[in-house]
Amino acid sequence: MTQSPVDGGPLLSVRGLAMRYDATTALAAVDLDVQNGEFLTILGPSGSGKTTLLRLIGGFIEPSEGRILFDGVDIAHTAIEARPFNTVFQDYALFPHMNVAQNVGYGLMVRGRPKSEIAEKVAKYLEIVDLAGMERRHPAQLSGGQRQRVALARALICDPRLVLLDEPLAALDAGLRRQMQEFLKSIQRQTGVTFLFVTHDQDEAVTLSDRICVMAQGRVEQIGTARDIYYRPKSRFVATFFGDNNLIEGCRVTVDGACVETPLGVIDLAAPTALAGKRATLCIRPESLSPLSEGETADMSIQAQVTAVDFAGPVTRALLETDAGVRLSLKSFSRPERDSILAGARLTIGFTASATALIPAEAAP
Amino acid sequence: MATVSANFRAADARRPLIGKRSLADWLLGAVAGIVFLALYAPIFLVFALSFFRTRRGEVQWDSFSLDWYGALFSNAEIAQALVFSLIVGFSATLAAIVLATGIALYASVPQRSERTRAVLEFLVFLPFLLPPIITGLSLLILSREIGLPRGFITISIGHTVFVLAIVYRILLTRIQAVSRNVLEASRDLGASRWQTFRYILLPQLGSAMAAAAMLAFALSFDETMITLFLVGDESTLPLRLYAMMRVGFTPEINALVTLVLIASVLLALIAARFIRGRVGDIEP
Ligand SMILES: Nc1ncnc2c1ncn2[C@@H]1O[C@H](COP(=O)(O)OP(=O)(O)OP(=O)(O)O)[C@@H](O)[C@H]1O
Ligand SMILES: [Mg+2]
Repeated sequence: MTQSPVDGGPLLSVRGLAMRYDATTALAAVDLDVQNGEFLTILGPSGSGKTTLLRLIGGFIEPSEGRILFDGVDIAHTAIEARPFNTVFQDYALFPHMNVAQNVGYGLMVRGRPKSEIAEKVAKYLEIVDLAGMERRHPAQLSGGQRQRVALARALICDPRLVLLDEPLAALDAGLRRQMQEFLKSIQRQTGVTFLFVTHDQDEAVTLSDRICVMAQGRVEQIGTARDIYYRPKSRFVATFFGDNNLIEGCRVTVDGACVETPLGVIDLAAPTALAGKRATLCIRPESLSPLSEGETADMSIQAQVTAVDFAGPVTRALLETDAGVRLSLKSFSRPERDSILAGARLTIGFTASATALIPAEAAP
Repeated sequence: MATVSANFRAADARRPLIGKRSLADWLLGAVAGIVFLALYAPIFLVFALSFFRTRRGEVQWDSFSLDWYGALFSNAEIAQALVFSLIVGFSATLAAIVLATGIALYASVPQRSERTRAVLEFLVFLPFLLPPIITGLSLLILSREIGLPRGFITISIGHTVFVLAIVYRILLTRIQAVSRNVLEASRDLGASRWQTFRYILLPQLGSAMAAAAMLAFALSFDETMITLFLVGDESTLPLRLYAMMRVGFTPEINALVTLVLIASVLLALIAARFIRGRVGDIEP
């Protein structure tokens, strides 16, 4: 159904894409490659330009600057109906005066396809989205999840090379949302169509995506797998956007880039860094710190005092203070017996060098 | 303390300003009664007089007949005027619907500035608010200047200008109620602008167009002042009525007024239904 690009390169390349409204810059020089067949999520806080980026790609608006390359051709100013992309809207945008079958078949109808072909494909796609038998219903007679699936079928039936989804699950309640996430993911696998999905929900992004593109203030902060984004943040924004993180300020990378001096001691770097000779901040996830029992060793081990303990069911969180005065938070699985993590106790904690990441130090205030 | 006084105030609000059996209540009821009597008595009288005869100012309730209706239908002049009024009404309504749809679509393009929209609205509404004498007179002068003979064309133009405002307002409101996303979705699915208009917008405008058409037709049907300036050899119904009354009052006029009244009320009721629209017309 979807041909892969001849050269195996990206399906879509965005280069220097910018969108300015009178006073606001909604999008500032974004570069992004979308690989064929992937589930790519654009994640960012409200106002970070996600919708703008998606609408530019979809052709709803024209960029102030930049290119959108598709099959090597710049389509930044191509008419919306001429782009082989289809959109699933947050409010579904179903046609209220048409029934489910007419909604789903619309894209084929306006292309002048024969009735028999439309009927056949509508049946097939309603089957795919699990709505067979609902042909005669009107959108007003459907639940939120069902409308969502009609919207998806309506987009997929046009054989798009790329499906654009702008927070399609935002209007659903938590349970249905989880169900629809799984559903979306399985449809995407089943059809092999490339999905570009917008959300501001971190968990949703992690659950669904092959890769995540984190955006903030109209810029791309980082693109990578969920694991990359989580463990290898490249900026302070990304480091703090996903869950808790320990940021240890006042580090300096040696000139040869082989190790970093930190208030926790000198850490040998496993991978080369672009920050050689520079001031840096060390990031380490709370669950990457583990209490060491007698005789256990780790790449790095430090002594610390437990200042507070918070039992939260499956995990126990603790605040620590090292002898050098660095405050750390630690997260570990709770155990039924009272374990070594007690307020006031002294602990030896260990971590591996590969669990740490370096980001540029904050500019001097 | 605060809640206590708030409760008192709530109780005050619930206490009626005027007691149910007080003199004031009785007086207000009487005033309302007189007003309604004054409003509807003449209409009722006309209604009654179209079926019954009078002798020395008294209605003869035992004289029911449809004679006046018979006389009305055999009056060729009235029949001609009625047909002419219907044709003018249809033409003006059709023209106003087409023009108002165009202007409303132009005004509702999202990039259009608030200023442009306000100017458009003002220009469309002006002829409706201006004294009809001005509209009638200026159209008359124009038709003189360009050598257009007075008659069907000039009257239709005058009526179109007059009813455009109401049609425009109804259509614009409905167009703005159509979700923008729905129109974008249509284009996204490969439809051209025309297809989007034809398959998505137009079907959602249907009931608003019907309502606007009925109101426009009703307005055109009894428009008199503008018509007076623009009329040629053929007369519209209101003008014919007026002419008949100057010569002398014939009872078939009662029958005519009754018929027009019933038709107008029906039209207004149906239009009101359409304006409210069916549930699910706009929102999914
Ligand atoms: N038509 C417009 N005119 C002016 N400013 C706009 C317009 N559209 C978007 N913006 C601005 O551009 C910025 C990015 O908006 P955008 O809708 O892309 O954010 P978003 O990441 O989708 O946010 P959300 O998560 O709230 O949907 C915002 O500051 C917004 O106010
Ligand atoms: Mg958005």
